[in-house]
Amino acid sequence: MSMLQLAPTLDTANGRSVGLQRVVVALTVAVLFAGGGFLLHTEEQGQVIALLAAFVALFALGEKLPAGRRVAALCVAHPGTVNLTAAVMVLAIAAALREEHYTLLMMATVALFATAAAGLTLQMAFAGVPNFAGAAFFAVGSYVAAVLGTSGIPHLLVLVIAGLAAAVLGLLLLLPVLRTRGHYAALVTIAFGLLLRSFLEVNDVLGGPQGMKVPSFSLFGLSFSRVTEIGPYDVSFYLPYALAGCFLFALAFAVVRRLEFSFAGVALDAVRSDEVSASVFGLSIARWKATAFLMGNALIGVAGALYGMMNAFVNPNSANFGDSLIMLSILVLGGLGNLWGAVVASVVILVIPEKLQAIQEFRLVIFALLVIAILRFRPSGLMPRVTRDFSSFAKEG
Amino acid sequence: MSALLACNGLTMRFGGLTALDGVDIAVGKGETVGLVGPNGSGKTTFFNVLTGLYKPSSGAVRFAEADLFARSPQEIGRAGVARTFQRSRLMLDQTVFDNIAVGALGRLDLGLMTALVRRSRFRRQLSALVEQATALTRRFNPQIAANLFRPAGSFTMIDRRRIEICRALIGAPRLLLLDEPSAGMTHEETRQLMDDLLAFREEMPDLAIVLVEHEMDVIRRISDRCIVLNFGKKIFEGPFDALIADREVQTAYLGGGE
Amino acid sequence: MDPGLLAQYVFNGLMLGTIYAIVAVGFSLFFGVLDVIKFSHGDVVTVGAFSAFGAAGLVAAAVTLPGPLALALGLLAALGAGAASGMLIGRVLVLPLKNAPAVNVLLATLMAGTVLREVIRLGVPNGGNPKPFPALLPEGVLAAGSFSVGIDSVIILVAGIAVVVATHLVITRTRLGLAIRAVAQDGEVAQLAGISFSRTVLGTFALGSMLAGLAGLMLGLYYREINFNMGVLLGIIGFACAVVGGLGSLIGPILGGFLFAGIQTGVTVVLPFTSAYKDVVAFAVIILLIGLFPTGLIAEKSSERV
Repeated sequence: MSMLQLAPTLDTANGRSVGLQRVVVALTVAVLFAGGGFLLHTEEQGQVIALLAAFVALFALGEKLPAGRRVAALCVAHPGTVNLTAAVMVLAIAAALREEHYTLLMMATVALFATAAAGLTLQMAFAGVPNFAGAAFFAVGSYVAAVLGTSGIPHLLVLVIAGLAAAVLGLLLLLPVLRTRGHYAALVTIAFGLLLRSFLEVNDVLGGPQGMKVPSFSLFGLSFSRVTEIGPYDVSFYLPYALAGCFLFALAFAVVRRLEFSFAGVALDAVRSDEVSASVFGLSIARWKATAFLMGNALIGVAGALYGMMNAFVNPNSANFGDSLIMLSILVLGGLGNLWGAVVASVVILVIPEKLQAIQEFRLVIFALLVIAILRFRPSGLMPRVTRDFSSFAKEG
Repeated sequence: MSALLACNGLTMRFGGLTALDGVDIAVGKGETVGLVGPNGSGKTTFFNVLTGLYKPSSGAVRFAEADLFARSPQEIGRAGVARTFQRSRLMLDQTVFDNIAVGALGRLDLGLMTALVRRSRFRRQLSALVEQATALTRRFNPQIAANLFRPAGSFTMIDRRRIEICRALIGAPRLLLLDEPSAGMTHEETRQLMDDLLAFREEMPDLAIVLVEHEMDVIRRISDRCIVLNFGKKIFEGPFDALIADREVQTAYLGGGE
Repeated sequence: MDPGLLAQYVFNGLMLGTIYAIVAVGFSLFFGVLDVIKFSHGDVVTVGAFSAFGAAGLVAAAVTLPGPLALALGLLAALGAGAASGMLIGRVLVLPLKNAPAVNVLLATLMAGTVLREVIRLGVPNGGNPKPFPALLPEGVLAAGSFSVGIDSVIILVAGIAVVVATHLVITRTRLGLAIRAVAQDGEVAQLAGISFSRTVLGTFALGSMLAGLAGLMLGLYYREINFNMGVLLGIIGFACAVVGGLGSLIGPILGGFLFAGIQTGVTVVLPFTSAYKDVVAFAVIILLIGLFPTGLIAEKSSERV
């Protein structure tokens, strides 16, 4: 899992205290993930509520107490340790809950929605291009998987093609998206989402309103749906999906982080914050917006393909406007530009309503009110994007 | 003489309004030209036309032997024209370094492969740029150089203006357009900034500067030559002392100002 | 094609266009004064429809009322509930967010719309299912050859067009209209001239949302059925019409409304076998038009100071 590790961070402090810092960071991340894993798994209402309360308290401590802020700052300063611990914890949770269908399904869902959120991050948080059709591009990926999944093309390649297809379809919107801003660009994507959904509904070639079956993902001849045991252990067939989903998210995470910490990342920020000065300093607004829009849609498409294969079917309803809003809400709730925030928000939005039976009926209202409250009182989200700091990269020379 | 920048008959119309009316302006290598005039006389419009933000209606613009008439801001920026803005246009929540880096992006490798895969190449460029940005900011204020990785928003107005000037200079332009650098600053701050610029002048003798200013003191201290615009027309060109004595300029300021 | 059938289509198209225009004008008014999109607008239409349904239905259950009185009651309820919900959302959500990025306001008001929708679904008995809307207008049919149309439909169409004209008069001829136009031009200057900014904005929200409530009533009367979901697509279509016509203008959204309805109807008439694609075509045209005219057919004044 060393690929997870971003460029290692050197600290000016001496070796021993850096070592201690890393231990603190690793423990913090491990506790958070253990709690998250437990939340995914437990069905006991009392435990769910207690866990949520504990998370809220922990979060408040991390923000209000000086010691908490210090730990949070350490986590920012040691991204390599954070990523490595996260990877180990994901593997540990998957191993511990290897037989739990539902928990693993949820884990995979969170990972794939977080991957889609990574795509939206490129578009909205970096380039400032609104995309209100995330679910539509996600569904494009699933449909590609449905059509090509049985064609004999290796499924890894199908994932790549699904990403390309979503990007190419996004190309249709490129001209209007580049020529407009704000509300106007948002409307272009909203209209596209509705258009795609109506098209899928009335067009029989892709199954019409019933949709299509999607074959299970198979890697080097091993079909995920037939995985029932690994060595001496019985496992759920969702286990490989959960692992593949997390792996995909790790890849997307690496892409987004590396892009952020590069001159291309600076260019994207410049284009988003001020098109006038960006263009005076020689940046092509169209090039950067297009790059982010196409790359973002590709990531969303790949995630959608794996999601379709996991669910075994896709229908036009997958492309609905409400789901696009859920993806956007994940982004805004987590904090625009912070992928860990997107993971937390995915859990909040996708998992908690499933867990709290009491709120099942009211989940949409609660979810809507939550997003409104965030936008109104904490617009940078639960975990705001951390200001990019190149100093640690530069010191190595 | 072959000037670095030569504008001839430059005209900019917005509907019925003529913001620039047949303006001829030439700037030589290493020269500092002060551009003055009442509000709405076309000074900023001139900068906006020159940097490609507005497409001029007619005229000619030659810069370093290249035709820059009605080119895109990108082409003009890459040809070596840099500017600051009247109202601060920094990314306040990003670090000073990131802001300054924007000015250098035109000559850096922005390829995705470098960003995603060839990280060592990126790091080499980054280290070099950090060195340049440190050296450049140190000339203006060592405090900026020492806090290169703090958010630009945490600095005072005068330091933000210095950062903006550094952002314009890091790309090694041949022509620098300064749009009211003293705006929003106290007398003392303005004086400091002028000292910085004069010191900088010495070190980069080839850089041409066009400066828009309301503070006559600043114009007097820094410019080799002055140009006065009024209602989009050039009404005066010459040394500062002659400007003060010119009757038409006096009328423009006393009688015709908005 | 049979001229009677054609006339039927034209009538339907006009009706749709009028309703779209009424909704789109609201979007344009809000944008004019505050530069924001209030995406809950579509769901305010639903609120209007359900309020009229509730008022007319509840009273009808208690006492028998003559038709016109029940209609007046429904109308009042639709206007009142529309204005109230629109002003509430404007007050607690849109005004405080007026300096936030455009996308934040879009998302916040979309969520506010979701809240309205869910409150209706959960709050109205059996709210998840479509409700039959009472016939409050005179029955009867006007016929000319093979073309026939209900008197109620004619009344709705005429009333709708009258509302569009009346809105135009309010904006161009009244004090409120003057204040709205002044604030739309330049909020600060308007305040210097003694116009209260927040009162004008709230007045605009009230006016625009009353239009939405009215559109809800019209939809109920026309289709005789309402549904908690009815505002979602209508809101998006209204927004699209306003954007394509030109946000901030008054004629633009009306033009946009009839254009959208015209495309939908046109596809149905010209290519009956592909009529299922009418929304696909309509939205494709919207995307194309935004690509060609990035600031709308009737361009909004926009200049960025550098």
